Amino acid sequence: MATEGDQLVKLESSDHVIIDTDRKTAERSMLIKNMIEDLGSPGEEPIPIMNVSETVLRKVIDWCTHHKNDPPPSAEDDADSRKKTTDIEDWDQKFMQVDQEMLFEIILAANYMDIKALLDVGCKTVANMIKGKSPEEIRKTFNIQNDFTPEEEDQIRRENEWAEDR
Amino acid sequence: MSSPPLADSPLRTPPPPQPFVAPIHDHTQIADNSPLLDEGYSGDRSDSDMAYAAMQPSVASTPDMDAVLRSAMMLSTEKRKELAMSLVHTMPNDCKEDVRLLIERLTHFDPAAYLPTEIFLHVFDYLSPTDLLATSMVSRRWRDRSFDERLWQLCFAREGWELDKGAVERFVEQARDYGQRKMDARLDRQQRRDRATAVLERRESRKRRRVEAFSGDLTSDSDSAGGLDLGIQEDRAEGKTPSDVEEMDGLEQTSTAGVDPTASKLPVESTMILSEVLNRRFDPYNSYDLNKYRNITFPPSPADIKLRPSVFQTTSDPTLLKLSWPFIYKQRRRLEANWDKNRHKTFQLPHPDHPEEGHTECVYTVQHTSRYLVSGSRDKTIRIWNLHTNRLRQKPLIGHEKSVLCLQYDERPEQDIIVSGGSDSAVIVWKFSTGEVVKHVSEAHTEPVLNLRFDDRYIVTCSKDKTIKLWSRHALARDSELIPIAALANFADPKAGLLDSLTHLSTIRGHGAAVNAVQIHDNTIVSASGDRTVIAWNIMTGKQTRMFKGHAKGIACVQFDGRRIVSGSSDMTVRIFDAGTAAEVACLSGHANLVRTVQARFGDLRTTSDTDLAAEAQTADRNWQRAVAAGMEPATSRRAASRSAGSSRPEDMLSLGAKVPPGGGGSRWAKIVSGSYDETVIVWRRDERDAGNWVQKVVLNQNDLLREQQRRQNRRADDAQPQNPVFAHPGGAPVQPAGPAAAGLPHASAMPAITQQAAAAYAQQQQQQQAPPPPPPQQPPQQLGGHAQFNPAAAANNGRPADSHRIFKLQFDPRRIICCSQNNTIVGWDFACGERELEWVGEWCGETA
Repeated sequence: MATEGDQLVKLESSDHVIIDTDRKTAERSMLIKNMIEDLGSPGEEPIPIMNVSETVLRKVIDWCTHHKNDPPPSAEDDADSRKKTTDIEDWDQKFMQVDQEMLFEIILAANYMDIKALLDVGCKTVANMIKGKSPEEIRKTFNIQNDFTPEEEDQIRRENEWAEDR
Repeated sequence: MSSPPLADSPLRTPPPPQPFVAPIHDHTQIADNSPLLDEGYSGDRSDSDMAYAAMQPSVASTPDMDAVLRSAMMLSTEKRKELAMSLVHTMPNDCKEDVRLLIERLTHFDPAAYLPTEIFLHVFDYLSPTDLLATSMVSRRWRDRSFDERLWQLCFAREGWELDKGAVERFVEQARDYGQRKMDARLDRQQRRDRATAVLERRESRKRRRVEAFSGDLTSDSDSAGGLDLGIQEDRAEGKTPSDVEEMDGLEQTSTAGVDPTASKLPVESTMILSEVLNRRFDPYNSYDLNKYRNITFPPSPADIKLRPSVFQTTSDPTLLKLSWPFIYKQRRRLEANWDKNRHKTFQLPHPDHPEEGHTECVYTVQHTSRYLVSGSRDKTIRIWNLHTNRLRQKPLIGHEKSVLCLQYDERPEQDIIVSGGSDSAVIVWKFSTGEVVKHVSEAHTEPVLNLRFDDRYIVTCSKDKTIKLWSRHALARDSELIPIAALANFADPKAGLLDSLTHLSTIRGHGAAVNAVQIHDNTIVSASGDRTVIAWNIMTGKQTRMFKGHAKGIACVQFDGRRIVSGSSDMTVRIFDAGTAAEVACLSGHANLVRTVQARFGDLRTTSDTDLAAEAQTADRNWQRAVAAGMEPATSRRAASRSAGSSRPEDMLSLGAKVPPGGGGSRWAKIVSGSYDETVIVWRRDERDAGNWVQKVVLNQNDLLREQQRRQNRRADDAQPQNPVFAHPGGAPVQPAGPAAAGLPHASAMPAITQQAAAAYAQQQQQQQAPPPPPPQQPPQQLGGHAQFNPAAAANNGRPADSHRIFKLQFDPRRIICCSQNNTIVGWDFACGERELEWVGEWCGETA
């Protein structure tokens, strides 16, 4: 029996490709959810996802499909003073094994489409690429130019000494 | 170090390729001319071109490169990949390296550039402070992001630290007033300056001289290692008016009256960043003398990077003035480092230059906040001290007829209260601000009031008479829900008015001996007694909810933070109990005599949920069960033989099924500080390797300090004999190095022996008495009768200082430990160590339990 969640939703990527999905999947995105709610029903017209290209949109829909039955996040997840874990569940970890361009594009899409859980996973993935690394290793990871002078670097290093472990 | 050196390329432009022999083309020309299909990286073309060129070893007739590329572009992606790979294969290694770099650039992106700042900062949310500092060294862009206020506020909260809002507001308000005055003065000058049009030239030259002279003065010792740095950026000639400089030498008030010597052509707006004015030299606790600024380190120019966090967030709007979180975090962390390294300065009350302000007999109780300390003594008085000056704030408070044994106060204007209890069985409520008596209940108990605590609702007292009494803190309706159920009937006269404050609401009975200490938390009262138990009571029902057993002798002190109960006993141990299950989770041995006072700060109340903590406990349980299954002999079976300090190692575990892990849990900064009749203070910290285990981090000894003071006084007395009093010790520095480092002082070597003696004598006395309660502290002369070597009066003869400094009460905060003892002098250890920033942050942080 077809439920509301099974309704067909058409999404249009920035490069004008129409992608079909079901309503429940699409509504992982608060952007889409709000649009559908405003319209009353998904309607015939494809919903334009203006800032997201086809490849990225497909990837995002993959994620939403896998997570379409997730429970809504609890309030406690947002308690800021609690330590934030960077643990990522296995499926998401595999999902995030993409090149950096795709990773950042997914993050941008998650932000634009307002999919908080995906944004979190994306940011955690980037955080895990930074964690425990030296500045030089971070530069290497993201191909960043060191634009400090050696003197500045030295000053900063000395300034940062306060945090050295006991 | 894979990136090639950057010669002249601006930020974000990929580096030019390594120079290599390109016999045919000058690569820059190629880059300019060839219309390559590209993914938006202008700098890359030269690379591909050169790779292409290099692949053609000195062929005379070079095929048209565009044509080759055009045909290549007609191939499928897969084919183009094959082509590219085979091309790479033909190249010498250094060219392959260039290709690798190109690919690196095309596939690796700087998230700080790629992502909007807001999202990038969301990434930073998941990083530790250490990681954040690493990011601050990556590039300018990253550094800029890494100073984000919210980020460091989060870091601060995650460490379990808390700001005292009142203290912060006071500081900011003072700063705002100060900044406003400065800015008004400057505006004023600016206006006068605008009117004065003449002799600009002359002024300019004079101004330059001033600035040079001044900065030379400062930079001369700018490298001093312990120097204060306030995030003060160097005066850049174009950014600041020299009047800033002038104000620093204290001349401002007088010099502005006449002709303004510091004219500037700058528009006034550019110099009016309030936070900068303040970041450069606001100090509410010190006068603005130049000496204060001699130690400021100026970052060497050109310092257009933000080198260190400054005190205030950047703002020009006084109403938005806020402390900067990176600064707070950094200084708070540095303060902790001083605890870790046992760096502190000692101080004492009374101030050594004002011995007349001190208690005339031993001090039984102290409590302090960042600004004040209130002490109660055997001399029947309560004294209020200013901790900024170490001077008495006002006349001693007189009201008790015997020793003052316990007190608690709240200085906040809306509270404005001191509650004290004494050997006279009385409880007195005072106004903190004026010292006047508000309420005096002379027979609060039938015997001495040994301890008391209050919160917004209740005052709880406990006594040698074995009872605990509950009193109303404020006036109450007769049917108030704050009144214990059983007591409601007593007040049920509908015609009568409100119940007065300090109305006796209920009495809790159950202990078999004196109740030495009491705590109140939500709807629970926790009490510690000479009957060797700690009991938790429900305030509403007055019924016992849990009993905590484990101590082998009477219990002198207790603390309850809602999760664990920490108690100190005559059995010379400090024990930690899980409040939820009454399981003993740690036993700290190290003192050689009764543990009279203890304070713990686990620091995880806001950072770890009960569920997380319970999960940690379950993990420990599972490890234990696994170890037992593997043949381990459980520690619980040999309880009597050895007690661990709460180790997480399965073989040391004391209990199973607790809701807190072995040792009680806690943050990395968790501390327990205990004071004992063995005259030492021990600072306990969690073992870095075995988190459940508490280890003695520091043993502080007040004896050296007190002896030194005694010698001074003797010397002073001697000096005073022949001539007029001449103080050989210039004032202002009540500081002598204390603790283990000061072992060179006379008498110090005698200390351990005395302590042992004391312990032995004490143990003997205990045996004779055969009674569990610790010696009631309220009558020292009788109690001490057995061992004359403790008698201060006797010991002070022959120029020999008093040797008995049994510690009665201590309290620590983020910055200080302060304790009182059998000596009349109150002693403190200040871990801010005289550093202004650390003193500030010590003031701002109001962490207690």
